Amino acid sequence: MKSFLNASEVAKLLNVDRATVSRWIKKGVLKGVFRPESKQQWRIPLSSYEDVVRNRESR
Amino acid sequence: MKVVSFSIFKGGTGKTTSTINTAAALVKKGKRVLLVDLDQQASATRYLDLDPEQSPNLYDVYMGIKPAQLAIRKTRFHIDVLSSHVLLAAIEEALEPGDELKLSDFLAPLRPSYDFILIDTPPGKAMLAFNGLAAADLIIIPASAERMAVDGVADLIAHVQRIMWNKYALSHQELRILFTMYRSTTSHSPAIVANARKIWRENILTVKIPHSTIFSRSYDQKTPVSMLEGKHPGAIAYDVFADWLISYENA
Repeated sequence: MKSFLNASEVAKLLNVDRATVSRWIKKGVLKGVFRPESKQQWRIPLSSYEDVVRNRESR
Repeated sequence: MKVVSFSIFKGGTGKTTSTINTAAALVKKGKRVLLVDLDQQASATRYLDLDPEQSPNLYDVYMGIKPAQLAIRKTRFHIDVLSSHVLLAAIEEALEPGDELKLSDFLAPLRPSYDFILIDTPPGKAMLAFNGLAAADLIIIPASAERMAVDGVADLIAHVQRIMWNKYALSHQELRILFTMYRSTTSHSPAIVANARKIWRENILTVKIPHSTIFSRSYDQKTPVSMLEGKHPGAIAYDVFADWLISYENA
């Protein structure tokens, strides 16, 4: 099982565009790091996705 | 034979209804039952009047936050539950080929504590559904008595036998077909079952679940049919099915 998702996977789960995921990471809404082998792809920990979903629920 | 999954890739043929009402019928006969809700829609969790937003749930188990033994929730129906959560969607995304046996591993330490572990699997061909299939000793395929569902049965059997059994040592698994939403007063339902019997023979269970609005009412009132209206033909059908399961396990 993967511990990290990429931007498109998170975008699909949150029903937003991939660019939105990218922007959220830069704004600090989501935690994410670049993949070591490429500065193009995000690695987003599952726990960070979980935080976003839980915050949405409590809002 | 104690881990039973209710699986078919097609949706809306009675997986959740059958899992819940079988669990309730088994509990009524004094069996210790654990229900596993793998579907991120959490219908089984809601059916048993549990809040699907609450912890513990299967997301915690897959994430390694809690062992399965500590993630069990109790219900007023005396059915123990490993409940679903919307976050299971993330698990579905994170599971990779090769993770098919994860649920089976989580359930292994729980086997001695229960007479039956019933798994409600999500529709569709995805990893959580495969986890449910791979964890089972017996796969019950709930199919509504109509042509579309019968095609779905063939699809599931082919997938299990050609792909899962090839990849993992699971050929001890048995498959049985449970017809649901059966309308005995039409000529269509009996014809569908008769045709299916020509193909799958004794793998089709003699008990059929009648089509009835009692099941919709039962979900609406968050109460299994047997506790809502024990003498209803729908309740009796699941009672007969539960008897079959018990005799099957003893055989």
